[in-house]
Amino acid sequence: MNADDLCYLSISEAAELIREKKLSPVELTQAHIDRIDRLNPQVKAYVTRTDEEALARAKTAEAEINAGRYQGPLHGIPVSFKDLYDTAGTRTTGQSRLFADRIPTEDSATVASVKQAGAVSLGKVALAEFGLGGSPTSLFETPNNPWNLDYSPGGSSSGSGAALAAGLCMGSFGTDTGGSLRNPGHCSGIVGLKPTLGRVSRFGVIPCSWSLDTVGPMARTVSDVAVLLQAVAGHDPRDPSSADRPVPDYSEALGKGVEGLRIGVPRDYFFRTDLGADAEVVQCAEQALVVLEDLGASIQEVSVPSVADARSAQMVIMHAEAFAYHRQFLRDRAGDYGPVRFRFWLGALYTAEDYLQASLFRRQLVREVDDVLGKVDLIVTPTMPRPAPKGGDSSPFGTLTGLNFLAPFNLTGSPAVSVPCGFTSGGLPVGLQIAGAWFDEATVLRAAHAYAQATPWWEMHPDL
Amino acid sequence: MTAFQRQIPEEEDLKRMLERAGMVLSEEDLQTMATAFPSVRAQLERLYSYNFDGESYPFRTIFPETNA
Repeated sequence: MNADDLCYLSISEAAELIREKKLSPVELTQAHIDRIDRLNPQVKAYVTRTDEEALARAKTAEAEINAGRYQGPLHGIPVSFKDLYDTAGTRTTGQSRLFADRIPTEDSATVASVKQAGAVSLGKVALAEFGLGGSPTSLFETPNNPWNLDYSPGGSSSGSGAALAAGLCMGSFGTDTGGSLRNPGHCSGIVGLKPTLGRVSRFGVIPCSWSLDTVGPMARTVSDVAVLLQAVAGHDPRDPSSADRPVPDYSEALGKGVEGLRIGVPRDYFFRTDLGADAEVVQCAEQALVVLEDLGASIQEVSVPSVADARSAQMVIMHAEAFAYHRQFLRDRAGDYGPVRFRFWLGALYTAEDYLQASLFRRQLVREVDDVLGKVDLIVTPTMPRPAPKGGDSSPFGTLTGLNFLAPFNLTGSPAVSVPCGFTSGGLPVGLQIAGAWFDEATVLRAAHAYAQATPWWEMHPDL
Repeated sequence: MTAFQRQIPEEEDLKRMLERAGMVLSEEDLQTMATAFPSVRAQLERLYSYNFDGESYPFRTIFPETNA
């Protein structure tokens, strides 16, 4: 196996080899560092590299394993973190000039948990500035999509998506306020899971929107996402929204298949080419439903009546909360922001009653999705209406209204995953979104895994 | 409350609204902000098309029942 092949192993495959002492964590880490040296100048996924620290941790992992102290499936596995996660001693910038020299003294909860599990951090990866979106950013370059460098890898966890697709890490952690774990999953052809709001501690993550931000794992396979989630799920009193709920064995649930699962399909909104959804994207999702049905799931039509207005409510809440966090910085140092400042300023235009109207809408949507999930186990949709957009500078405001498949599950706090389900005729990946009931990540991942195992998409990699 | 009862802001309100929040923008930035106004109005009109008058105490917390 050559060094590039090592970088496209799944975490599960690499962990087995490491456990059996057939693969050295140092060799695996060095292979990734060499590949980052070669490919990062074009992919631009990493904004801060920690090569020396990574090799030191890999050597420690190797010594521990050789001494019989194997810690589990993340021991010696190279990972990366979106540059919103605090990392003690390593700068955490939010990809903004505002925080260019910010060096935390404490790890975020996720970073600490992943380190505790023995993983090796290769560094910090790019994002849309402060996770709110848009390019260019005021610090660092914008990543490119490894499937076609002229296109965006999705965002805001753009560096995570690009790094995984390019084989520059085996797992990554991003954040999702309006779709930022699933959007790069769709655009970069990898798996991105937004866990239930409260499932994973947000302690030590630079906020975008207090009531919407969710942190979660990304990887190239569903089983790898399950392993990563296992390492970070659980209660943390340092995050007031953290839920004190039992954490199941996510990997154990994967093998149960979809036989007997009831899948709801809201075709009245998410599959509408007449509203602007791309025909090839819809076709990929329809074909995925056939696969799930062939595997034993039952498919039925469902409807979430208010879903078309979810984006409007999510944007009001997100911008109002983001503005509240950034108000002082915007007043004193607006020049240190990139064009994202326009998105923050939108938050100043809403009144308290607008915020509460959006919150009341949120409650209604929660009830509607809850009603649907009383009749089916999962809701399946295309992840995005359209394939990855072209790269380059984006509109200062992004898309404030219109067709949006991601925001509904940010408002409801439901777990939702994007899993690859095909390619457009232009060679861009397409994702399938699977959402479930609160804290039922196990069923979401179980269906995603069953689908992935029955299709070839997860085995395909870009030609770089 | 409906969209007609809630006074949806007009573009000429923009500078005043930002200044009320402590934001003083350059003329160029104000012009860029103004391009978002049609979308902001559309958002608010959609949201105020819903009537939640029947709600009494809709929230347990700001978060949707993650700790329920």
